[in-house]
Amino acid sequence: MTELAPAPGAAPRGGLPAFRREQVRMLFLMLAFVVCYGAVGFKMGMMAASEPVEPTLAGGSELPAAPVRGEIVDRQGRLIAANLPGWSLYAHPREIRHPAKVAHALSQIFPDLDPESLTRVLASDRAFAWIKRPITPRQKQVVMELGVPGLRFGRRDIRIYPAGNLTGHLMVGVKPGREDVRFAEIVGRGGLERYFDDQLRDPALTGRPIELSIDLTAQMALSEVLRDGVRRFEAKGAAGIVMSVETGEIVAMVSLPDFDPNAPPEHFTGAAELNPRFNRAAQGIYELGSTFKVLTAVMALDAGLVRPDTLIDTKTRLAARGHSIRDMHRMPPRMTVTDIVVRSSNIGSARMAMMLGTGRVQEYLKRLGMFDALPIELAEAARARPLLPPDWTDLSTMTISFGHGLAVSPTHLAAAYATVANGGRRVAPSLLKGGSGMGGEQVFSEEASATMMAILREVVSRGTGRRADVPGYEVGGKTGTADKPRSDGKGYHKDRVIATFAAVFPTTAPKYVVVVSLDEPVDRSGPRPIREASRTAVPVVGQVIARIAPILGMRPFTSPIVGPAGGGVTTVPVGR
Amino acid sequence: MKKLGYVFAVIAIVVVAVWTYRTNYETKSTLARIEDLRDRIAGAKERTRVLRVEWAYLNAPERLAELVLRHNDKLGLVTLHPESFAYVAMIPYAPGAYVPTVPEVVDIEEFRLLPPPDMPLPVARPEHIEIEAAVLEAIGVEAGQ
Repeated sequence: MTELAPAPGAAPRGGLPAFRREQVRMLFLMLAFVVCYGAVGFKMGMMAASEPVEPTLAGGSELPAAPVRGEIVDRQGRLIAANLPGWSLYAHPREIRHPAKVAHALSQIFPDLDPESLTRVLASDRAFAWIKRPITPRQKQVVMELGVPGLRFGRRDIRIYPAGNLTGHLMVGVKPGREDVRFAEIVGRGGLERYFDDQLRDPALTGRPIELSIDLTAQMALSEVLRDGVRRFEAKGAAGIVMSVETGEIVAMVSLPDFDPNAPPEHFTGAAELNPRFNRAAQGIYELGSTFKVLTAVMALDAGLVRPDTLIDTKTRLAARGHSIRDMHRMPPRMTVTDIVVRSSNIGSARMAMMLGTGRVQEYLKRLGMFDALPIELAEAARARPLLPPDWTDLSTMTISFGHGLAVSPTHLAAAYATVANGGRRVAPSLLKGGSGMGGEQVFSEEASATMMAILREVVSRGTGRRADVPGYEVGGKTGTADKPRSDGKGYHKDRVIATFAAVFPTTAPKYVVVVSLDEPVDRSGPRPIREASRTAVPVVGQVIARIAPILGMRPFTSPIVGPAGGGVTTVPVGR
Repeated sequence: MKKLGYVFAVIAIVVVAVWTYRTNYETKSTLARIEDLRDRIAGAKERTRVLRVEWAYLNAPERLAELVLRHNDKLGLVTLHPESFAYVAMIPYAPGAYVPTVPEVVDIEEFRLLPPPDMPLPVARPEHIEIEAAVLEAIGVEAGQ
């Protein structure tokens, strides 16, 4: 018998150590696996059990990497909404020894805190209580100097609007959302802040500011001129919009009275239309009167029903459903389409609307966006839908042809005028730099658009818009004076009007549309009070254009003629 | 032979140990420095943000308008108006000076002034002006980083 090959059945003498070696190997292998899987499992457990921490640029520092809420800038990059680091003050009442003394000291620092209720809070058995938020770094310093244990601070950002009242209606403001000692949400209260809330709060996007189409300088000029106009004509309020014709970008949008978004008014007890938070330019729905005649005329021109010199009967009153349509002033028996717009004939407009027919008028108005809520980026705009006649009859078509029976916002009107001026291509208003990218649909032909621009120029050069004629800018436009509907629903006020002027300049190569609406203006400089737009809204628009066009970098169309040697130099308009 | 091998092994272990030790501490100090730098960057960013807001606040149109109103006796500023635009032809030239003879025309599309063909237009001021180091030294300004 050899050791190498044990006989079958015999007890293996050297077999036991070999068997044990394999066992050891297996044990070792198992151990290795246990260690490996254990490491992985441990790491997973650690990750699952650890406290989630906000990603910070400075590990462990209290400064966050990015602002909690994105910034908003104007088209030139000037800050409109930004954040300032601030603090919130909270207390652990159980740790406070002398509640009355502490409450007294705090009420010295924050005069709006009531010492008595504060004492009650601090003396209570609660573990936690907010005291004041937000507070400024300086106030924090003073509180720290009190040296009271139990008073603590949490980091908080303060939303701030450096331009104040100028951006009130655009921004509206913010309110605190969910909050904790370590974090706080700031939620948009309205306006752009609410519309873009998700985007502004998205941590991935807070580093990139939202660029608006607003130009703060133009906004300031518009606000100043409107304020002047409101004072001069004793108006209740005003709305003004300056819109780029090609892109629909709103360069300036003002509604008066306004408010400071840094401290938005909470409650307002007066009439809703006087609430400073009400945005007349985007939320206000008004019948805008004769400014609609331009739309009626351009529809008729586009449909090929009339030419600018087509004569239309303006003598016989139009009657429908027991109502008759007449004109304010005596008009010639027959007028051209140009004159109907320039001299603002209701009968002429109604006749053109009837030539088109209700269906076509509705179709055009729909394509102009007159039936939909404004597509602009304000939270309030979506709720302000145009008011249509509940039962659209031929009489409705007639009255709408001169701006009664359909109530829209001044921004709707500005967008419609921009569409007419933009070679007939639809313009969608937008508050974002570069426009919203919508629109572009051909609503009117280029020819109708060019013809209409020439007619609008005539309104200003020889019609009701004369007071808005800024030399060199070829201003064109149309006035509208609409009686205000009575709040009790019984017809219209006799002596209360909404005076509107919608202007386009320059008419040969339209760049901007300006719409100004004054609420209940009256010019008392003459022997009798005058309320017509031609004496109220028109001069205001003239000032707006004279102020804003140079700010927007537009040179007047004038060319100097050099006189005889040493003589004076005069400028003459070169526009057609 | 075997002993020599041990000696080399021990030396190698000591060298590696020293290297590891130093690298370890270098890494730790670098990490600390990175954290410190990040902290300072975050601080600087925060200060920049505060300063930007302050700048925007100080330059808010309404504030500037009020300041101008209050101090305009010294400032003498006027509102920008269409008449503020001038033409070269409006400048009274000295007798015998070059006078552009071609009238200036406004480009209706672009709102730019088209120059008469024989006259150069003034060049806009550059945003940054490169000044030679020697000039800076001469006027006593140290070259910045």
